[in-house]
Amino acid sequence: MNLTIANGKTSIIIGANGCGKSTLLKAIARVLLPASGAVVLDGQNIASINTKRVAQKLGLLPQGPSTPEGLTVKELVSQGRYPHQSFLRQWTSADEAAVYEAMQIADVVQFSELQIDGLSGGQRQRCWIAMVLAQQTDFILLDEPTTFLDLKVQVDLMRLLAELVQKNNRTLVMVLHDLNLAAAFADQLIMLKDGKIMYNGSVEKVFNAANIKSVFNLDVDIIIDPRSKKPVCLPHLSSASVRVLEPAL
Amino acid sequence: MNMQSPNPAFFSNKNSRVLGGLLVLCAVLFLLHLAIGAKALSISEIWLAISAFNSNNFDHMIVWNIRLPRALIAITVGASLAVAGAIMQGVTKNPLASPSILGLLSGAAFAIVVALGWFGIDSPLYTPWIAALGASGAAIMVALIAHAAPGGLTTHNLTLAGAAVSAFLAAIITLFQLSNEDDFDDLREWLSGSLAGNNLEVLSSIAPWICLSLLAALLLANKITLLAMGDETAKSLGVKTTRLKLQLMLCVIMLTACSVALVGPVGFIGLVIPHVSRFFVGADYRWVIPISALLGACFLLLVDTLARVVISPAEISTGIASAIIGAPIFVYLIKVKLG
Repeated sequence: MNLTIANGKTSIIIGANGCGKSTLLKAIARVLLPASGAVVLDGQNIASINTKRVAQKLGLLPQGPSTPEGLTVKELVSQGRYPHQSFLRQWTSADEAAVYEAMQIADVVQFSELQIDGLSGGQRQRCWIAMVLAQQTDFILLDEPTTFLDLKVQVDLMRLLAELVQKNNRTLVMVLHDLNLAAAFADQLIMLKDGKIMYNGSVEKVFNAANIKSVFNLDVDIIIDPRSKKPVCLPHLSSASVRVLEPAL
Repeated sequence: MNMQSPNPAFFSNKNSRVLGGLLVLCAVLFLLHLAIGAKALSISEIWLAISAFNSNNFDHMIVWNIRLPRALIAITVGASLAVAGAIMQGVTKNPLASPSILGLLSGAAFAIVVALGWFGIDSPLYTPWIAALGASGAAIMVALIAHAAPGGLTTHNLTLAGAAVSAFLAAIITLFQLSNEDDFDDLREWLSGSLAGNNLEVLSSIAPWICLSLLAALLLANKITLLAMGDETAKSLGVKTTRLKLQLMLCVIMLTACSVALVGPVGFIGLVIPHVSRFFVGADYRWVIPISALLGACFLLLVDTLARVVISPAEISTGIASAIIGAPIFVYLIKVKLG
């Protein structure tokens, strides 16, 4: 596998369940070490860089992170400053500014004194994104950040992330389940099957019925959303239901 | 978006007030512990005994030989067990984790019983290390059993394995005890958790290890919060999780072993005090660790004072008293928290 992530863009990894999307993301984040091969960050093998140095460059929001009971939003977001601290360099006003800015961008300042476990799923996810933002890394990796969220909250969250790329010049790499959400927001779309990259390129180039059929084994029609001009895939639902119904008749 | 800087109050913390309050409370309980007993002493007498010791003065002897060691042991053991429990609950993300539930206390007690019963080793120089060996052995056994169970090292499996190992070792200790009543007469009191009968020399031989472990726990506290947020999050924030877990494990074993060597297995503190601490200061372990230490010290000072006066001149074993007094407090806290 050979994959280059473009700077200052949104790269989205899609693929069927168990195809290795999360594994790929964790390997990029250095949470998992690859059995062979290497992840190269700014020309250096990521395994050879000091752990904290990596954490200053690259932040990860894992899938379904566990929130300790009783932690307030402000405390959670403050944890993002850990890689910038050391025994000699404890909490500073720069840390405070970073935490506050991250909370403003993710729009969670109003929750700062509340406990995470009392918030709704969407609010909680925004807090976690604020935590990763407080890390002030160029690269932000997100593993299915929209899972279990209402459609509106999903769209709001994706807009927030897209703004980060445009305004704050961050590089985003994320795993998504929802193909249409991926097609709407990706600059670079990576389609994975059985641990291999099948297609990799712009949405216009790779998001088509033939590719989706080969990666997901799913028959779809692609139409263009008249409002956003982005492609949308529609699974062949009627033919599937006919197949299920036939034996009963 | 307008990026104004936060106002100064945004990052202020009320937890330092809790810490200050507990320090004062601890000092008051310490003095009460010295003053109250079979013979009541005034604060001025205690002060004289400490500042201008006179070996011919009977009251001064009581303070130096009996009450001061006992009060200091209550502080160290209370702090140690509470911090050990807090670390375990943070690392395993299991609110039931504690030296007692995960088998460490029984392991340490078992090792000491075997060393004394079979090999006649009772030197306070060795007991902490024997206890550490027993605690580590029990911890490894619990981990292996949980690992072999379906699902692996989950919270449930660890808790169940810990309960099983604890019950098993406790049963063997009782067997030893029943088969050898005479030799175990002294041990019986120790096994129910007793602060009596220790002197300053024993404490001073063990105290350095406890101080070292408590200091390490304080220095590692900020990383425990990260671990409690999950291994992947901790790793992505730059924590070397395997090394950190080993360091913390070592801390827990040293704190538990030293406590057991001093007073025997006292179970309730390690389970309950961390919960009470989080009730006051939340889940940031930079606060949970010191607050647990102070609360544990206060709690054991209070319990031991009561244990000596309630049915005086006889006294209740501190281990038993801590459960009798602690359990209702715990139930009350749960009730307050849930509604």
